[in-house]
Amino acid sequence: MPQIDLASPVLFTIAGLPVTNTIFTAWIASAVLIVVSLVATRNMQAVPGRLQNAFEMVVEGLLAIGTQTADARRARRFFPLIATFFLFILFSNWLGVLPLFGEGELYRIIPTEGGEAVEHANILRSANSDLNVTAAMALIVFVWTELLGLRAGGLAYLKEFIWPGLLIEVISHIARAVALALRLFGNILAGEILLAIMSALVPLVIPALFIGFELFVGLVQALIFALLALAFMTLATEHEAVEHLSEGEAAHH
Amino acid sequence: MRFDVTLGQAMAIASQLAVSLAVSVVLGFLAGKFLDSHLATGPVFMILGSIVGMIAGVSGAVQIMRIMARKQAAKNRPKA
Repeated sequence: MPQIDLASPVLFTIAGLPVTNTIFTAWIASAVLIVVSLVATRNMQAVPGRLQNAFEMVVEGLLAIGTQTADARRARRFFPLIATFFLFILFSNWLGVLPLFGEGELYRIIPTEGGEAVEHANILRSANSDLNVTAAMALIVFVWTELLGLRAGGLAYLKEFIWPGLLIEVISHIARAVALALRLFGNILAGEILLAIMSALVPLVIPALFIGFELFVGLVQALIFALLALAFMTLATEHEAVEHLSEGEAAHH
Repeated sequence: MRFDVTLGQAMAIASQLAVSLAVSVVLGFLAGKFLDSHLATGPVFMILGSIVGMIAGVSGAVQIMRIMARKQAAKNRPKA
């Protein structure tokens, strides 16, 4: 049976900072996304080419999804962050089902108390199967949401945290971020374990079905993370939306 | 291009409800445990923390559900 480690092994260190296989994979996913985005938007034309057309479809699709959760103004405002999360999570999840993932092995000799031991680790592993990666993204959502709320509502936003709602609101806000991180991590790690076990039990045909299933799960999880992050940001800027609406109505009258 | 996100929203709400309920109770319990260990109040704050966590989980999930349902309701509302 395959060995499944919860913690990501360290591949190498840069200036004393450990780089795990999940961080390495996250870098690959980011690099590919950056390069493809640069190539697609380098020479934009009124009549788009294939790549520009594909990218426009993705952007339009994401914006359409965003406007069904938030209003058009806020969906457009939060779009850069939400779309980045969606694309990074989706691409990382889909990279994770490639044959190279979980296969290539790196052997390192590590010093132990009794001498030396050989530690082996997969070079590539799905970035979101590491709680550190998903927690980092959830932390960004948490901090950004609170900053947006403070900026949009000011004292009105802080009023939510006044007794007796204090404990409930604080726990609720922290729980949102923790739930975001845990759900993505849990789903992707479970998928990795499922694929590894099924591939070991039945090496032919059956794993292909599970790979298809994992591609679907990867898309759904990216969509859920992006939608929830957008919903949190929309919720935090409700005061601003009400003010904007009142100003609009006043101007109309 | 048209995307019906109702299914995505439903999945997001359902999964958020499940996970945030559990996480909120655990957070409330841990906060209560911390207070109990410092104030030597036995299981009082642990129980209170769990209850507050449960309420926080439901309240958080309802807020998200409201945001997502509002847009859907506006879309389905007949135009005057």
